[in-house]
Amino acid sequence: MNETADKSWRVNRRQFLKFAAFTGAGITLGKYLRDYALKHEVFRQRWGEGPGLETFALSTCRQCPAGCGLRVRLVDGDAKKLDGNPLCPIARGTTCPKGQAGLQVLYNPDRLLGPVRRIGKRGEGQWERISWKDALAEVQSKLSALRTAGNPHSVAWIAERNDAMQGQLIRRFMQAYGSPNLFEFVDSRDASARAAMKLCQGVDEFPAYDLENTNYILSFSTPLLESWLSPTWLARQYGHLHRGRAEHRSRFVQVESRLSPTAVKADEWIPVNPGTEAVLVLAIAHVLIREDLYDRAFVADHTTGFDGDEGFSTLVLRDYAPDDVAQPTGVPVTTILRLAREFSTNKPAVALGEQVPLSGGVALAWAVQALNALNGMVDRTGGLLTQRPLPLKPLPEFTPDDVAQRGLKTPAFAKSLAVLADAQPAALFVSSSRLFAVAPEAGRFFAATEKIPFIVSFSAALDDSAVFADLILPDHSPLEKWQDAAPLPVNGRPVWAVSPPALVPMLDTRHTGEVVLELGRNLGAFPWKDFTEVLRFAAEGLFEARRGIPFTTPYESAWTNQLETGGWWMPSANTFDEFWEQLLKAGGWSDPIYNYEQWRRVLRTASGKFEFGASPKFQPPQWTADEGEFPLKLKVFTTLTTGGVEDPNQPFLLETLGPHVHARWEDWVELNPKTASGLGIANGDAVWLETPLGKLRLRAYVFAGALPDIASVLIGQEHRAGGEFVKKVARGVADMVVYRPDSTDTPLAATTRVRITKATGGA
Amino acid sequence: MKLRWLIVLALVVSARVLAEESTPLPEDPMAGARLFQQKGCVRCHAVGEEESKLGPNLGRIHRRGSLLDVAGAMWNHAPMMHERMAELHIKPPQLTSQEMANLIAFLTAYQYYLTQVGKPGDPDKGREVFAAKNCAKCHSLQSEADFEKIGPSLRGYAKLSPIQIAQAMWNHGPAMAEEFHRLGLGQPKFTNDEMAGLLAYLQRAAAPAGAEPVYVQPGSPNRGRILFEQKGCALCHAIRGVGGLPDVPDLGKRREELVRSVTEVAGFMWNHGVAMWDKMRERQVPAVKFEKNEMADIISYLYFINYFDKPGDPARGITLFARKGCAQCHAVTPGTKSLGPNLSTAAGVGSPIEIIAAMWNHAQAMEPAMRAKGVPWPKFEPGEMTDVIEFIYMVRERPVTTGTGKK
Repeated sequence: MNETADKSWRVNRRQFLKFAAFTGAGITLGKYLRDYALKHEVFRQRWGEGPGLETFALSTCRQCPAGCGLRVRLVDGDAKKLDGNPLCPIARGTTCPKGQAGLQVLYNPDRLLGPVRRIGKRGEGQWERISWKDALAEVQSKLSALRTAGNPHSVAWIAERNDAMQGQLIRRFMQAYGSPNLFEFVDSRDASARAAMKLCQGVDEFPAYDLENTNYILSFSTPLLESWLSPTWLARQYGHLHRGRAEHRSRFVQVESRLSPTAVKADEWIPVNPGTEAVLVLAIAHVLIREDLYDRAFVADHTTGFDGDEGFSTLVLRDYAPDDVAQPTGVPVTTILRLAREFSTNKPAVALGEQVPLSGGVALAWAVQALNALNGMVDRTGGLLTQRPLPLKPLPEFTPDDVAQRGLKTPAFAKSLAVLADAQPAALFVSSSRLFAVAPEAGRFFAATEKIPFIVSFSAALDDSAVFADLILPDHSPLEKWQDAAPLPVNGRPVWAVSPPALVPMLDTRHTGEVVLELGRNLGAFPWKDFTEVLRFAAEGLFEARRGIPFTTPYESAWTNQLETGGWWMPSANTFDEFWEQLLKAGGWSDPIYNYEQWRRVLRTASGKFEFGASPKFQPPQWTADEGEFPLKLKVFTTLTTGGVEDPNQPFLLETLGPHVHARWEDWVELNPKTASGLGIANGDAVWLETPLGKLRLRAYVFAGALPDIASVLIGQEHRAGGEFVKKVARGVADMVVYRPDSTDTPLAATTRVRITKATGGA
Repeated sequence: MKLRWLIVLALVVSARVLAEESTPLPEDPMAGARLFQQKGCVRCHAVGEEESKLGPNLGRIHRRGSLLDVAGAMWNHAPMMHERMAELHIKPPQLTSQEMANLIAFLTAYQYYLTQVGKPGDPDKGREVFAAKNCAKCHSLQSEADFEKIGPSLRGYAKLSPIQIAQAMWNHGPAMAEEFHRLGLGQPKFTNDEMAGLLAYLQRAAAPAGAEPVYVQPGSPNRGRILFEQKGCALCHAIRGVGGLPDVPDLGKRREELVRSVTEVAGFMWNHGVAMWDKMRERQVPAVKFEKNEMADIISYLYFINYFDKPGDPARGITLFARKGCAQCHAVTPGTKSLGPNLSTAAGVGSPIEIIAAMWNHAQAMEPAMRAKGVPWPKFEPGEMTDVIEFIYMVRERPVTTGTGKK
């Protein structure tokens, strides 16, 4: 090395300071420039700048728990349009309005650019950007400290129930860490339906329904064509039942205390007083028994608790005669008789009793289950089914260490949002904010979060959980990440959607599944390198199950179904790698067969029979507050575009909040003309809706489909944060519902009395 | 000594049977299922319980024909199909001879796999069968360790594929027959859908709560044929007059019994097992046992025994050739010109499958030409296509030994 060159590498003090100053400025400026550039790079208009190369990728919709397959149209790598994956057995090439709006989750201008830490007081909205390294170090440090102190059980996690791999990783993490306080909720299903399945059939799962093959649907306030199950699947079934079968048109009766969009599309709407649906169900059961219209063979062979002094038949014949029930339910005796006769003579027939949002209570769910059993429609074609298991490979055996085992033995407090908040965990993780928009106890929960020292949210934007979080570790948008979905029971057939990222992540976000893997790695809970490996691991179970088929055409699905009916099966691939490629190319896997009348599989009670005797004690609805002061009953509902949506900051959805009443970007209350007239309220007036818990200004929509003395209000828009679009609308009614759980801690829908008064000025 | 002679006889019979059918049986009839989709057949034809489309649902077509009979049925529906396809602007599918072979194998196998097997048995009927046939005397439905029962618990069998249960029954047949003798019970026999009902009842009543069904791959007729030889079935059973013993049924003449659902065929095999096992004992032939997928292969072969047609009658073929109007467009004398190809010299008609594929592919052009000449579309009844093809081979001055083009 010569002398000149050698000198050039010498650094004096001045040079060092200059270098340090520039470097510091560069890093600081770079961070802001990066964020600026990211934001402008991501959301600027790029039409026409590239060569216009059009490609397509498969992905999975996460706008609700249904997990429909998507086909993403990309132009020069930018996502431009979402449509249904034609091979997906749920979507079959279609999407609901939520699916169409999914791009607005990707391009939500309020998405976080990367991890942030709270710097002001809670709720002030003061944040600082931090690196992923610092963010994860902070989380690890808190978790380690709690574990070292022997308090792993003081960590709680709120997540949407998800049997797909991310959900399984969270469960495994909590197990390995040593906390029993994982609170998993489901938004688009009624928890009471699951409780009733457990009571009557001994199966801890939501019921499934064979709507495709039924002749008669008797629905008790189930939002069949709104926010229940999968809107795409249900819309397809609805069309199929009405027009898809030659010489065969099913009948659909909706019993509900409001002319909902579902009731409008039904063949018949039966108005019923809110909270009395269970009574009506039992009155129909009364008629079936009294007129000997029930399935005697099924009841004799596969049920217990029907006869005897305290048996179901005695109870129903004694207490639920149509003449006694007509007045409280508001349904005429002749209608009850007709419904019972139609239901029993138009088999296959199925009764539905899932009310979402909130719940009709376990009494309604149980009564509906009992009605299906009475009609012999449990696990029969066109009836009530039980989900077949999804053969994903189970996570490897794992033995938690001593600290974790001690923690897992402590009593769990994460049973409901309210109980969880009262327990004041030392640390709380929130991987889904959806619950806060519909849960009536959310207000109580928010008040209690002040006392939770450390809260981590995984929200992609500053949504409801950001109000109280200390640290936000933003997840990718669904289109940007590896995904899998195990949809909640729909028609009993197992389905698993899986898809790679449709495009590269646009922001400094990270897959929540990867973060969970990172957090659990030190606990020895996860042997996998990344989330993709987790998915491959799970898929091995499908390959080894030697049944089912990667998503495919209706023809091949029917063909596979037929083969399996005869005990045959054709492998689609010879090796797992080939099978994995097929899964990614198709978007998932399903097993199209359902074997009916498998009583030993679906009746898993101690008796091995359907248990009528497991009836919960039925109580008439207990309305809160004084009738004189609050004369109207509150009925809550969600619409198709609000049910199950995780990120509400989507203009398309806000634009179509209530198409049946032409409501856009606003909340409204539906009132009966007579009731409205008595209150001096005209259609379109601004009104105040008051409950014992508060008041809300809404627009009145007066129409004959609203029952007298009932105020029907959209729930699910109770957002405390969430972005520039949703904050124009956010003022939901959830906080004003008086929280009254049933025997399973499920919040009941029929509980709250309200008062409506005309407000001055326009709405 | 007897056994040695029987083995020699088996080898001779094997050689004869294999030589007789130089065109191999389909290895995988399912290959045609994919083709059915790829060629767009599914746009008009539904399968199974799928809702009906433009064309008939395959699940509702009950045709138990040979290769050429199926081909004849396809030919017969060509004009109607072309009309509908033209309306929908769908181009008729062109098929190579291999594709045609696969498609016909699939259509033949379709009933075997689907329209028959696809109908699950009636479990209520199965319950009656279980009681009436004294199954409960020897088998428990639930307990794995019911020492009062001689036979194994059926719990472990309840989720198996019907073909696996049939195989297990077959393998245990001789031992069961002895027990029946010992107990003074008559060997149960199964008729029609009794076996299917029994299996459905087992699934309902005995399957462990969490158990999922176990499936097997559909059998291969070609593997089944080889097994038929290797297992020594051909020692006793003739196939269409070839091989076998005079006092043992010729399976080639038992089409009605064998072209049924798998469970019915299994029931048929079980029924004849009693006499068969006695005969085998008498002749010192060891009992035949099947393992893995072998029963599926064997039954698949039995189903395809009559897949190949008997040799056609060229004399009848001449009459048909004229009566069906073929002669109006096709010359059969070398050097003679005709509207359609001269069949005595045309290329690409070396085997019946090639002829069928060629007919299918040119049907679209042929139909308007025939209409212009006022010739009605020829339709082939079962057996007629064999005769016509035999005649074509005759005029091509090639020796014809079978209806499937063995030359």
